[in-house]
Amino acid sequence: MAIDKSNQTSSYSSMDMVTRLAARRPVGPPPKRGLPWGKYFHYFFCSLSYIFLLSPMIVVIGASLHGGEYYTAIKFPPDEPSLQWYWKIPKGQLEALGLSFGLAGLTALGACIIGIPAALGIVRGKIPGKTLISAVFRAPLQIPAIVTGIAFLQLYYLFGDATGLYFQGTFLGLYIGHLFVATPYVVGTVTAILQRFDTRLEEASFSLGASKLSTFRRVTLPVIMPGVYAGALYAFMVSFGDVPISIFLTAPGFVTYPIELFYGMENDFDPSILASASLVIFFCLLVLLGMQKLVGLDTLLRSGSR
Amino acid sequence: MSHVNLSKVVKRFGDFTALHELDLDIKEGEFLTLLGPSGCGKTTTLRLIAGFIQPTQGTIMLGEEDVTQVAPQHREIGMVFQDYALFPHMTIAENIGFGLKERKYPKADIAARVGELLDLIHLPEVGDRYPAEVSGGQQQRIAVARAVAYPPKVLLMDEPLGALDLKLRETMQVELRRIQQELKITTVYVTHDQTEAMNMSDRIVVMNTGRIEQMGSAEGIYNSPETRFVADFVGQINLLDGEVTGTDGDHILVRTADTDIRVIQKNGAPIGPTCVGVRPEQLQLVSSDSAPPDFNVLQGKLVGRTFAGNLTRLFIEIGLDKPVVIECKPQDAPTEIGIDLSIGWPIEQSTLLNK
Repeated sequence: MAIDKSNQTSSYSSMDMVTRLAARRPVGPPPKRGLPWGKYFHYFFCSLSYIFLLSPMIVVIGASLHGGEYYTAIKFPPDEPSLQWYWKIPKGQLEALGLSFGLAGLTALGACIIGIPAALGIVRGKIPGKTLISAVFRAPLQIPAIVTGIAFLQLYYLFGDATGLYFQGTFLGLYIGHLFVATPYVVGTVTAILQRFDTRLEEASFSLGASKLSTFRRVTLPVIMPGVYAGALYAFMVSFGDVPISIFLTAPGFVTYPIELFYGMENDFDPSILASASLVIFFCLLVLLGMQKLVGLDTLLRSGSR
Repeated sequence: MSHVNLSKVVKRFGDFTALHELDLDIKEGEFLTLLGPSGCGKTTTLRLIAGFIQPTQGTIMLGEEDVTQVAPQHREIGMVFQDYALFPHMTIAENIGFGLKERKYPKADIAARVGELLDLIHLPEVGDRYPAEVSGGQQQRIAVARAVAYPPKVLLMDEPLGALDLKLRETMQVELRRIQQELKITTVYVTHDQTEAMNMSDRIVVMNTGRIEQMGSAEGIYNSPETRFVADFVGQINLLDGEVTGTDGDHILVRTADTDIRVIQKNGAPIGPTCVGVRPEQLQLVSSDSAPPDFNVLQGKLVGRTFAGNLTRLFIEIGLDKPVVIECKPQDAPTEIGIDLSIGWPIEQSTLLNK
């Protein structure tokens, strides 16, 4: 994406363009065009895309700096910028944020524990009906999340009526719901990287005396790790941002961050919601930068299959 | 280091038989090459010795131990792959030390052994780099060092030079042979390149369609090919199709291109279709009346010539399917296409091949 030839444009004057057009040849390599319109168009389009993608965040962060009186709508640009709302974030939101981080982290972990062996089985296993199994692992992505949420709630009622163990409104119940939608991402990214995996690496490891377990730990796992990171990141984000499933499986006093924000917006909106949202944006930015340092974002995104 | 013995080894993949009752004995410290076209079973044989696949029938011995049912990780082999298969996430020192670490050697011992091996492959400086940061030839040498770090009973190499360019391949042939002899390690080498096989091996096994066609030294295989396939696959040869018509003293008479030629064959040969092989460098231009008495002589017409620097190849039409190729010194080569020529060769230099 980076363009480093920008100073080439200055060497062409409009006079150059006239002579170049006059000397247009019918055969051979195409002559250089006078002005790099293609490049300008490229810049223009990239700028538009960035504006489109970044403007909501800029508005949220900007409006969170609102320094005036209490105001019931988003005000952008903010007048008298201050950080006052950052000190007024309700305790409930911070608790919900803590729950969401914990839940998303455990979801990413659980998705890896289920997803890596599943992907290995799908790619390597000599089991009949592999296409079916792989389709089953993709299925959660094809069901609208709100349907999944209702289905889980219904399931928990039925299960509870039968056994007396009610999962709705418990951490475990919520966790299972999140695992359900997050695991396919890990299966997808790990499958993608395993399909390109050179099995000779494992044969080399065997020939050097390494057992199957040791080969998996020292060779296979490190080589597929970029796919695992990518899948885990997706799983984390899916869990962290989920509303449609969580809204059915949480209970008063036990809510995830997006649900808490949702209620906050509905009932008593104030700019502290914007402030806490901005904090999350900054935190995510930090995590992404950390990932970039750790594994390289390119590898991460390239290994993603979807 | 040990000898390796394959006895009556059969390998089938479904309906396809990759190896038919293969018997092979590899001596201790020997450099043995399995040579053949792709699909001949040479890589299958190597992978059977490595233990990556199991034979359908037969036994494989490594030294005194029957390893037929032993997993590769317990066979104490060293394997070098065509695409090197170095671990991309480990430094070169970690790659070489992999097998030693696996066998729980102390760190200091591993470091010392890795240093020793880096010296052996003449790459003392690269230990801290990653495989992607060194060249193909260097990766290949590192792969060899990794395979021999924990001295294997047998070193197996699967077309290890296939990915390198010609010049580098020639240097590496010498280099691999040097390392093998320095370590006195039993080696099985797989290639489809006959020059490579001849340059490096103590013994060559020529394989075709899952069977051994012939085995022996490079000279033996080149000078006395036993089958048409071996004669054709190893080096250049003219194959003269003809028919055995009888005997003349110690010689067998073969009728080809309307001429009787004589061939030495100790065991005799049945009357009927046959094939005589003559190498281009054994053929000479002769004058038909003054050819020595122990020469076979054929009449032909010059139909083409190519210059190859140190020699010139002449293509001579003698009335068979393909023109005969002969090699001569550039200054001796006639220049006019279309002239009639006589070619001859000493009787003892032609080989009777089964059809």
